[in-house]
Amino acid sequence: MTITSSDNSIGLYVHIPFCLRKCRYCDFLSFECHDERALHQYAEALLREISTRYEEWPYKIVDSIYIGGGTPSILAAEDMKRIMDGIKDNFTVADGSEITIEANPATIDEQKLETYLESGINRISIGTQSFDSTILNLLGRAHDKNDALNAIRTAKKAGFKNINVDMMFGIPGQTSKMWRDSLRQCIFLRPEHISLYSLQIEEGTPFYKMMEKGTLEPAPDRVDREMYHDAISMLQQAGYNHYEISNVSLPGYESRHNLKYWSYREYLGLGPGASSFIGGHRFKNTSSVLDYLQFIKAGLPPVKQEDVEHYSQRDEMGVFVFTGLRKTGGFDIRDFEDTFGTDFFDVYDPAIITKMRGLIEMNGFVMKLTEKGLDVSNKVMAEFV
Amino acid sequence: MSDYRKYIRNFSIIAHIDHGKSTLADRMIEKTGTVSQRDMRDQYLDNMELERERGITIKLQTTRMVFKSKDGNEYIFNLIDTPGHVDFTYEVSRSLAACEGAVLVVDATQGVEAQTLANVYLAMDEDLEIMPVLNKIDLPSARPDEVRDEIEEVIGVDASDAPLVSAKEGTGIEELLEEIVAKIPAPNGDENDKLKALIFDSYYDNYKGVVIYTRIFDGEVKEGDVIRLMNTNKKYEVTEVGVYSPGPVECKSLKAGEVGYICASIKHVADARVGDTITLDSDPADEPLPGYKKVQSMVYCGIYPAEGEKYENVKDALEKLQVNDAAFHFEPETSTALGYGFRCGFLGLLHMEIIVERLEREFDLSVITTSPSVIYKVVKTDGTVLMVQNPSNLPNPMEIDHIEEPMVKADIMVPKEYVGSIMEICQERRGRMIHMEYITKTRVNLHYEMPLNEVIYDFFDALKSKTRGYGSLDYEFIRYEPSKVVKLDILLNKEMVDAFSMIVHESKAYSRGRFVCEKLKEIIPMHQFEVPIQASIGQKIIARETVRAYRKDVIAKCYGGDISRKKKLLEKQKEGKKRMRQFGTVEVPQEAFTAVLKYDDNK
Repeated sequence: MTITSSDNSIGLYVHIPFCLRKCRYCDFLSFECHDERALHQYAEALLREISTRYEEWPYKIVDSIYIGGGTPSILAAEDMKRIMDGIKDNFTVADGSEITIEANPATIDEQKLETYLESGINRISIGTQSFDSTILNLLGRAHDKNDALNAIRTAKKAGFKNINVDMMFGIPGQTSKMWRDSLRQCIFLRPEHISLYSLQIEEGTPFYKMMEKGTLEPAPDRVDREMYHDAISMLQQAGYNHYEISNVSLPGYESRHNLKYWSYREYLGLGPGASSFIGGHRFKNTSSVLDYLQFIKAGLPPVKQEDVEHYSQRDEMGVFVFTGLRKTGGFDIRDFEDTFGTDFFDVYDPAIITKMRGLIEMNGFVMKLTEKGLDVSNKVMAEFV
Repeated sequence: MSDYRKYIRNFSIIAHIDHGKSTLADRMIEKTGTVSQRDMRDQYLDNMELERERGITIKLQTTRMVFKSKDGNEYIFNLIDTPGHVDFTYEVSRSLAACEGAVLVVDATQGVEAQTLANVYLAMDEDLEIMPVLNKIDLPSARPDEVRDEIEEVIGVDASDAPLVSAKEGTGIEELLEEIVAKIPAPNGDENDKLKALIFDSYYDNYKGVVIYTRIFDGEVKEGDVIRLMNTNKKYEVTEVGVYSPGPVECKSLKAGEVGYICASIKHVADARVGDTITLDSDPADEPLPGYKKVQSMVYCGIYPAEGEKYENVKDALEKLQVNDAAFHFEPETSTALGYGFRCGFLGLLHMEIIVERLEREFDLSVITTSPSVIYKVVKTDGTVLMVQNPSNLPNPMEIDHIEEPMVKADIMVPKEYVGSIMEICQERRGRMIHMEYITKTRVNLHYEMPLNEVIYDFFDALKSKTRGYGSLDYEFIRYEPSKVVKLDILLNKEMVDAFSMIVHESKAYSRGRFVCEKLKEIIPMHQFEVPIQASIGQKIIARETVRAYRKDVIAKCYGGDISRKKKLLEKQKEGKKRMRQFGTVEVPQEAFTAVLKYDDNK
């Protein structure tokens, strides 16, 4: 029997909150872990969550899976395969689903990648960030330039036909030339998909402390934006399609899972700290790994009351709009009206469009950010929440 | 003398802020059993939340207490509270006029302060018996002997047997109450004479209308009497008389020598002005009590509804406050930058701050206040005279012959080590020293003449900051003097924002202009374009700063579908925007208006 995906299909997000070492800018939910037994135990817990979760949402068809972290490739290949089997045993996974795993260049080897492919994973996202060893060292990454190059080559050799490479800019000390060189290197390797991240120095990270002490000077906004626009035009020239604020791909390789977040589609998060939007509910698994393990042990969904969001219809409308605007193609206000059963301009004052002139544009029914609007997307989005 | 009057004592407590007046009053109330210990809360008389918080008394409270003396008699004590700040001198003087004596509380660790002195002089003007008391005697740093000498030296009252008390610990209160019986004279007056009663305060009650606090000097007043207010010449029928102990207790009548309240269905506090004399319409007194004057606002500022706040709500709140505060008045005005609002007059800067805080707290309103201004006397070339309290109303410079500004006499009392820095800040503010005297070996009283405009700006903050809080200030208006003042305008992105305009002395224009531009640069967030901030006098730009443009306002990563984190971030951004005021294309946070007025220590 073939199972095809539809507009109602959901995405699954699986979180692996462990890393070889924590990068200096990272404020994601992730912990340094070298204890193989602990990692194995965690995989077991995930498997149990998968089965309890399925019982809650038995009719949902899955058409994208994203295994993110942390560093998912830190798990033993066998454990990863068991997780994949667990998903397939419980959920109905559509044919041709997009199944991505994030990998750190330092933890990749050919054998692991082959196991991934065997288990059904068909897309790999490599956390390269840069092809400049000085920058990688500053970021506190566990890999250098050679690891980065090797990882992509290895993935190709192993047979991955859909590869994403993460690239980061706006890094202190990074010059425009360094950034363009890294990008050239990246384009040369021709991954199907590239994610572009502007470094955000978040509170609580070592970078933040360094910035407060004055030992780290954040890149000026002007430089950051220059790098962004440089990158977009270089990538477009190389044939990449700029389909979302920070993502480009070769035609046809837009990330299905990523687009779910921006197209008001449902997704279910597994593992600590993972967010879900499903059946009209929004909630987040507990961020404490310990509590998570306790919940799972007791056979309960690992969600605390305070992590359940109670959004009003108006809140949801705001989410629809600001996520929709993340896509460079914007969104169709008729989709908005179909979803909520109200006129878009009954909810939002048409004057917003005039007020945001130059940042937002309407073509027929499609509303989207202008190129200038992409730089100050928050300002525009804040108008709609 | 009628027998009942022998057992009445009418007195006030005068003290400097923080010298413990309110705590002492509490102890007296407690000791005389006026309020049961259980109902006692700190500082009973300061019943506005704001008063308790700031530790100052704004509105008067009066309390009747019954004290059983060692001599076997019961005495009625009427404690008439006085507001403790320089802005309320007139109200203090009227409260004192209702008394025969004043308990002068002096902090045994601090000694006599400028304001204590100012109030003592007011009490002397009213010919009161002044009874010194040394408070905070429990503190190790108390130096009662020195402070006694200081009182005798500075004030000239005998302080040798001044009671030593600790209001905090409750020691010495009994002795103090006995001293009041012994020292403070019983009231005079004739209950059979024509009615003469002094209004020393009033407040608005939703059910009773205006409640007048009064001291009866002659005659008697009771429910049903038709009274006449001699200065405003208005008539009302008395609906209730009573006393406060400390809650209202109705009584049959109030007679000469007594203190109590009268209700007469009066609609506005402004109709029952402090200092006015109440008499009977059917049998009026020949002349009113002396000392009445209509209070004059000294400081003006604009009050505007903040973004999202309704004009009507602000108007309602101002009306309610006015009903209770005869010294405060307002009228509608408009500003190009801020829209519809109100021009408000206050006794002084503190009075203004209190009103604004009450608007925010009691009425939960968010308002913008513009730079406070004094009233300038503008003499035009055609000889006409204009009183201007709003910088926007200043006529074209071509039409102005000259401008006069109000001057005050300022008495500043400081420990001598701070004299140098005080002279410096007075000089910076165009003060002229009249003379300086040593009150004691360590304390100095500096007499200055200063433009009021400098005093209301940041003088008090500067004084406190330079003297670590030890300096005290008292000032009063003396006269108008010609002065070279100019209108300083602020332009944002080349457009004038009238709400920032101010009148300053020529010599200060450059530094003030620079200061405001720098402050605004710190406060105004980055826009998508550069925002020039300029200060100008007429067409001439005298200072400039630039808020650079931002280019980036994005969160690139939306981790694992965590939409709610992003939503919260956007909401915060939106919330921040709400507190912004749009001027042309420029967004200005509301705190900008107050920030440009703040004293800057590093200046």
